[in-house]
Amino acid sequence: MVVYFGLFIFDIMLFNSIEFLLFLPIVFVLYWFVFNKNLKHQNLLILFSSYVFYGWWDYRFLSLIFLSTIVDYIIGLNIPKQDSEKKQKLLLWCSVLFNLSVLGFFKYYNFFVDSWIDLFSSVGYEIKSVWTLNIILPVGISFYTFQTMSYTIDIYRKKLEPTKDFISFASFVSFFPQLVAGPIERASNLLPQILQKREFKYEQGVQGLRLILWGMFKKVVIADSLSPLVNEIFRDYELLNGGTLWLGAIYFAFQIYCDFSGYSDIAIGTSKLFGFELMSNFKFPYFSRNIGEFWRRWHISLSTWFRDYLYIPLGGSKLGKWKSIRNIFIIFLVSGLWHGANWTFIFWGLFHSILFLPSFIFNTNRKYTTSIIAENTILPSPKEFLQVGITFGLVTIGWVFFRSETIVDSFNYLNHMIFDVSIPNKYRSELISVVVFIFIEYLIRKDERLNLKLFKNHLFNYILYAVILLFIISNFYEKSDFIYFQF
Amino acid sequence: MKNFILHIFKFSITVVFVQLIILVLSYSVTKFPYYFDNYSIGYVNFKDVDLSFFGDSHSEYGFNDKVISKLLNNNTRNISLSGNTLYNNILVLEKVLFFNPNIIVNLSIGNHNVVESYFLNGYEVDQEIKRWFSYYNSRETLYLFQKYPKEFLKGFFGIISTIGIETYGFSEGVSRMGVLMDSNIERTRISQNYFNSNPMWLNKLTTVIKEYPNTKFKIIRVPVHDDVFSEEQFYLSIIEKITEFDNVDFQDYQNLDLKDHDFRDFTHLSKSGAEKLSEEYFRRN
Repeated sequence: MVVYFGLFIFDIMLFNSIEFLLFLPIVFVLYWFVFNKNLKHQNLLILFSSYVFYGWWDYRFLSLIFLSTIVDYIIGLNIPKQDSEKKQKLLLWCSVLFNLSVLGFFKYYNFFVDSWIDLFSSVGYEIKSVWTLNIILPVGISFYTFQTMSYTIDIYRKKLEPTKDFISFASFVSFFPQLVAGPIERASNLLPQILQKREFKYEQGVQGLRLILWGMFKKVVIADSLSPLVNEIFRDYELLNGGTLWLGAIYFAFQIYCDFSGYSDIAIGTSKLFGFELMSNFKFPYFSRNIGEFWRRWHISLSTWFRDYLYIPLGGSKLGKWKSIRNIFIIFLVSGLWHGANWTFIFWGLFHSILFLPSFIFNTNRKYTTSIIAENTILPSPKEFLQVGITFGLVTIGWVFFRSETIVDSFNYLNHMIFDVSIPNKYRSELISVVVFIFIEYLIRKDERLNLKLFKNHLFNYILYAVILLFIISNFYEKSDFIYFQF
Repeated sequence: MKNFILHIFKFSITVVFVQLIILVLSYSVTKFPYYFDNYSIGYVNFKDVDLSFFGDSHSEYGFNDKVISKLLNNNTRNISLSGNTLYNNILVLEKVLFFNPNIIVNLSIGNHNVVESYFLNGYEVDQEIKRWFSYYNSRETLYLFQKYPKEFLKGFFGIISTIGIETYGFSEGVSRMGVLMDSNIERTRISQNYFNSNPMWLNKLTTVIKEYPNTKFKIIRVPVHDDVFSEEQFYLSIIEKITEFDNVDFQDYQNLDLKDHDFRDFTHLSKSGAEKLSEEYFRRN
């Protein structure tokens, strides 16, 4: 059964596409030179541009964003008007159920149907898969549904006043720089910025350009060049030796990091060009000294979302050890499921919860909340070096679950990777670019807002940016999707 | 806003300035007499090489230079590289001969090569220009700019990523690796998508041959599986034109007695096939 079948579908307007290179300056010029006198006009332009940006992929799915916007706008306005807590809660549940139903249908329907069919088959009942639907997953649905849910939850919690300005609210939901792959913004951060007059600030604009440049570098130069090697290694893993499989897992670790953090950097940089500040999404996660620190540095907007809207409502760590452990398992499993409707993602979440538990039980998970590796020294201490190495190794093993097609593949891959101790004999040349990238990240590790001013001399910085730009042009030869679009 | 626009302008000037430096560097590295051997992880000086193989994946997989070096007691190097077009092989050949005109040149030309025309047909032109720009002479540069201006600019501004190993030259040394060669990879038939014949590579090759009359050139045909063997008449007519010169021989290995397991796929030899071909090369030379 076909639910949606695309007749007029364009490519997604990727940040690394010619379309976006034309789109961005046009919107920028209109925003600062034509509509700059009136805030409402500026916000209307943001909304229109965001809908063009999203509709470029498939205009029919705009109806879904619009519906989500309308529902949460109306519920948001009505929650404070209710005279009892019970009615307010009922409205909040309407919003949560609506958003989760949309997400559940488009993203998880087939997964659950197939899983039930598999379950029945395993006990001898053969069921025909007539319930399976041919559903197109709307790009960015996991991101904007979480964003709108946080709006109504924050209103219910009285942390946020609902807005009456529909255009501003719709702009918040569909804000094009972060619409399809985050960061998942909180209404309390982005909405007030949309509601107040913005002025162009030179330093903010320049910093935005630097972030776009660095994000593009990560995506186009590192992630895209690792992508074909990763695909080959994970496809032919049965033919390759253990060392090469380690290389494949390490390459994927950097591919997904550069792909996703690259997108976030471009999103944050683009927002700065329009006078907005988005939250940081990555803070050099591969320099983490334990799993707790890794999760404070990786996909921050999602992990803090789960912390604030799932972990804490479940009781967090205040209901005793066993319930806290239960809560940890829940958020990691849900986080895994959020990434995709596949058992591989659920195993990935489970694996991370198991890694996280020891530090939680021994109360070391809050260690390293503010400091970074080699905080006041040039080189890390041997202890830090070992900690980072072990954490990265464990995270890399976890990525094998994430990247494999099936659970069986991931266990076979890991079995081969861990027990066939050997030196990689293929795909070694790309290791140089990974090592160079790690070195650059290490140099800028204290620069969490990514100002990217490596030198005091302006000219040297200009030369560095020019070299980065030329590398981007050099590798900018074909469109490649961002991995997180599928989530 | 004025400062912001000025900033972008200054940055654009810097990009042009950096690109000029890169161009100079790119030309400079082609003047080094080395290539990188990925198998032994080290640089090899062309001046130290006695016997060389140039070509694409057919000869890359076909000749085990370690075996030939041992048999001939010399320094044999297989500088072939997968995906290299015949035109690009001749560009590398020109560079090697510049440093070492005494080298014995084995140039692999298969039936599929004589009809290729990558230099003309627009296939990944920007990638080609990016990598080979510093090897082109002024006539070739002008030709590409006129024919593919968009791809030319894209390739030109992308030279930065090819400085280093790729511009020096690069060899994977695959025929010496026993890794994938012996594995049971399904043999797939390669579709023979021939383009119209392009005489540019032929003109280029004959110019090089004439330029180095004292250098010994051997045109080698690496065997392919009988199932994909074709274009024979046309191939022989081209080979005839090349072997007109006194310093050029043609060595045909197509009829070498090879079994199915000597092929990795229809057009590439396996490890055992490469050993057989290398030993046969020794016997004939």
